[in-house]
Amino acid sequence: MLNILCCVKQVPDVNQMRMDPETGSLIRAGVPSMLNPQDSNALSAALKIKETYGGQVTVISMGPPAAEAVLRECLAVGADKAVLISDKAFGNADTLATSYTIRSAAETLGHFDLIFCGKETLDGATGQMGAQLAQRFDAAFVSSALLIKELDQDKGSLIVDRELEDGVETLEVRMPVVFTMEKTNYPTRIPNLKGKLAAKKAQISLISSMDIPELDRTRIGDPGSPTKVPRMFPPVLPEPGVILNEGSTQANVAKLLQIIAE
Amino acid sequence: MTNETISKLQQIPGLKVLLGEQIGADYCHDELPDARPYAPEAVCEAESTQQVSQLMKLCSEEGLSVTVRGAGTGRAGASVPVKGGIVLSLKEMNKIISVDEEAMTMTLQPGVLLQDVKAEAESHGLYYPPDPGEKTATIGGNVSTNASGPCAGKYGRSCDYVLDAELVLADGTVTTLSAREDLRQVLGSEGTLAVITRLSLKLVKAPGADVILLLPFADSDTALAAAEKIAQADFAPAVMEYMDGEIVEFSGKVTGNPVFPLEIDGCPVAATLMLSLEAEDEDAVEELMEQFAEYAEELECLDILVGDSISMKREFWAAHDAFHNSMESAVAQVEVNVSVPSLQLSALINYAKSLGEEGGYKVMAYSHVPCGGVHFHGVSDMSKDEFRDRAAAFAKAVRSKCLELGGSATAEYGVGYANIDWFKSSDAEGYQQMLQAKAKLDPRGILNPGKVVEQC
Amino acid sequence: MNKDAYKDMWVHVEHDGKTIHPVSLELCCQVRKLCDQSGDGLVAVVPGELEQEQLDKLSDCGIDKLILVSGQGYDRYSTQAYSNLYVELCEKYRPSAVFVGASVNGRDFAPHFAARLETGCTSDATELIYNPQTRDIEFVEPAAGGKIMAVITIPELRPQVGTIRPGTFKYAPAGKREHIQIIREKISTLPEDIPTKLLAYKANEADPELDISTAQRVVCVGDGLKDESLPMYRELAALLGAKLAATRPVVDRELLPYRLQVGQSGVMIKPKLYICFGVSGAVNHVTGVDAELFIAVNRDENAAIFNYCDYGIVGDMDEVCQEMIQALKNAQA
Repeated sequence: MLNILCCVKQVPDVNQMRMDPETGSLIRAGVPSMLNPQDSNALSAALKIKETYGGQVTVISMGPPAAEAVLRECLAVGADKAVLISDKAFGNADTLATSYTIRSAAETLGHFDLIFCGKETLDGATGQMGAQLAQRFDAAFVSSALLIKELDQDKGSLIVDRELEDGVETLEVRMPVVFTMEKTNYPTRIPNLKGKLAAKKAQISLISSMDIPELDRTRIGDPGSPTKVPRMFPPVLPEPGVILNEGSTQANVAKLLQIIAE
Repeated sequence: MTNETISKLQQIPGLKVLLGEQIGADYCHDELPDARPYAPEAVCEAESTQQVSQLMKLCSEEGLSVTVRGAGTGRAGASVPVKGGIVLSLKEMNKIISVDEEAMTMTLQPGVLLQDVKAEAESHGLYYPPDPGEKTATIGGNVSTNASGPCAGKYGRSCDYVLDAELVLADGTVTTLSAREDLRQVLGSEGTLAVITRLSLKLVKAPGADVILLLPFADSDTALAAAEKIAQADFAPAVMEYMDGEIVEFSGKVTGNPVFPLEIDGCPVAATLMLSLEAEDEDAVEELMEQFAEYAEELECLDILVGDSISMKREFWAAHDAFHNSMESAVAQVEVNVSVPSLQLSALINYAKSLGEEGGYKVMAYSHVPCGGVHFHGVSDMSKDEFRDRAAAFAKAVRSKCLELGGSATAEYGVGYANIDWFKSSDAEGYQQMLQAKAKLDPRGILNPGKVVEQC
Repeated sequence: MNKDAYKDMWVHVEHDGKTIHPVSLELCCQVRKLCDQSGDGLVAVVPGELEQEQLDKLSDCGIDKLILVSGQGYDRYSTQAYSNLYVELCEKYRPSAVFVGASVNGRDFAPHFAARLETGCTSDATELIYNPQTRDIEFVEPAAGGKIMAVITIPELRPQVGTIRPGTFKYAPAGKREHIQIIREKISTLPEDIPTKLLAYKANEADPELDISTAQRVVCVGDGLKDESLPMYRELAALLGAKLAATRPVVDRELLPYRLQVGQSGVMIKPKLYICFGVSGAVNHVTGVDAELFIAVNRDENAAIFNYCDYGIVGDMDEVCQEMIQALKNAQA
């Protein structure tokens, strides 16, 4: 049976974030959180594999206890099992520490043949997690995967299309594999009521730093994160451009087209 | 219009007067499909009640007709100057004057856009429910047509939310009205009885939490029967939309993302019901969902899909709101908006579809089930000219059927100039009342002539 | 960590055997400036065979050293071969920083080898600053959807790895150095050690509509877009001889493909004419646009986008678009 892992993250809706003009810091209060949009495409791909070839999909997330909500969203559309890695010791982790933590936690759950994640997150947007997970799991890595076409469990390999800037390459890949998914063939799934209600009641396993044997505490959380953010500042806005005010939309457009023609 | 009149107009302090080429094409039409343009002689953009009053006084003395206009998003020609004269634009009267959180009221000028009314209410933790879909319409326009929309079944129509209004009458008199019945007739007169210059709106407490449910069905009659059952049950959906499979598919092709399911487990979806359930908090919504899951077993829907995230809800509504404008991509199209008692929806929709089958064009429908409003869209690959006669015949047949079924042939988009005959035949009493009111309030017929009622 | 032990800044040279990816040249030009401040040497690392004429092009960007790597595994890209190469070279030569162009493949292997080296990796900086006090590179990048700029550093570890989007920096060669040291290395990754095998490659059908990076004119739609209005903007783009593009929220709404996404996490564009409708002006979007004439249409007069435009119209985007279509059609007739 295929053992499939899908890594997801709860992110704030950055479009609703505002900056405090006085402190220059971001106001997070009142900003709703959600499942990272690209992770829903990754999950969709994981579920498609399960539906086609059988297997079990485990969703895993690292975050505060409230991140449970996005795991329930995943359960609602068909994930079998949900695991939340949560501990203050894991806080402030960059991708290096996070990938180490996820692998260490996942090892306590068994061996995974396929590992899916989104291309990038809405908030951090580094797009590094896939590659670093592949390194951590010592797995093959297929970024920007477009379509998983054939999977041969006996051979332990699969065929996948991968999107490049100028074309599509078809690869034969030995499992285990880490994928980052393109959304093209794996649109976000809409949960049904039965799934939703079941997910609300489902058990979510918690993994804290105490639950991982031989965890290297120098490699997690803030101490394990080589990238730091010494400061932030508001973007400097240039001087505004000329706002056309010719009296009507028609006149503005006429003026605009004249400017373009020049 | 004489030069003398023009200069008198220009002397009204602060009033912006556009003449000749300054008048954009926008002022000559609204969103009524395939309509010819009507140019005004002048466009006046007012910023205050006083300017409106002075303008009306002048026009009344000179016998000049005045067509009031908001954002021009109407679809019955109500804001189009069919008799020439002046277009009085109120889009610059767009100030929200005050919000009283305790009394839950908002006082504002008529040119404020619906989306801004909603956002302002929301920022105070309150809610302004009426929403015909077009959020860039002005509140004045909404009230003038007593606009309804998907949630009207639960929440009522635009005029139900007006507590009082400041009006400028045809002769320039400024008056304030708050007696309910009077108010409704004058307000909902599409600018034929008075000019609205200020409104006080009633707001309600925002629902603490809500969820959207999609119920796909294998055939449309079952969907409508289910809708009837749901309406009888205790769920009080704020919205219950019927959307047939064809319109979802057609619109999905235009937007690139149909959002609503086209098939469930291999079974094509013939129609979908979209319900919005509201409750005071998340837990209560969850409880409601559980009750619904149990109840829904007898509905014969293929599945029940859930939208409870902000992004999902937004996507559902965006896809729904796209139906209407997606039709622009058809070579030729016809649109008919009517309402019937909701029990008759099935009969009307089936009838309209049969017309399409006979005439060789595709008929699609979506409906606000609780208030029986239906939008029909007929599309064809024929050229516009070829399709014109069929389109007219279709519109006429659907409306006749609608009257036969006890409905209203002018529902949703108002009367304007496009639907006068239908207003007359579907609501003879209402028509007579409007005529009487017109004779009393605007005996010279200078306010929005050629609309709603025919005046001798 | 003793930072003195780590010298030189490296640029990964991406190429297809014939030509160098423009981002690698852009990076050489930009990193040259950092090296001038830090006293490091600028090193270009070339995996696989490349003709002399292309190497000359690199030399023109002011490099001090050239590491030419031969061996198995570079005919066709794989994560393993490229990751192996950088792990081995970094352990041997201890560079202070490695810069990789954020192409699909660059983004694929850079974080991978950084993880193997247990060092930090940054993505998509829009500005690079050398701090002489800390001797760290400051990677400046828009964060939280562009609401704020964040400075990222890797203060304790070396090398500092960073991927940079194509088009972020200008190609402005500083000129050839008198002496360029050439180092030849042989590093092989055997086919059996690579878990992926190329079966086929299909070049995209030349759909020029999807290639916005070189478009002269671009019409861009932002989150203000109504789903159903899209065809209208296609029509406007066609009338203007422009290509249609979008901001991230529109792509997230699955209305347009990712390849049409303009901005820091999408495509960087340098059109002559750029007109955007309903775009709020988030930094990650505007950093992706380097236009000669920048025009913005938005109904919110306070939208940040008006700070970046040359000319703006405050108004309903659909109305302006329709009016433009009408005017352009009239002009044609």
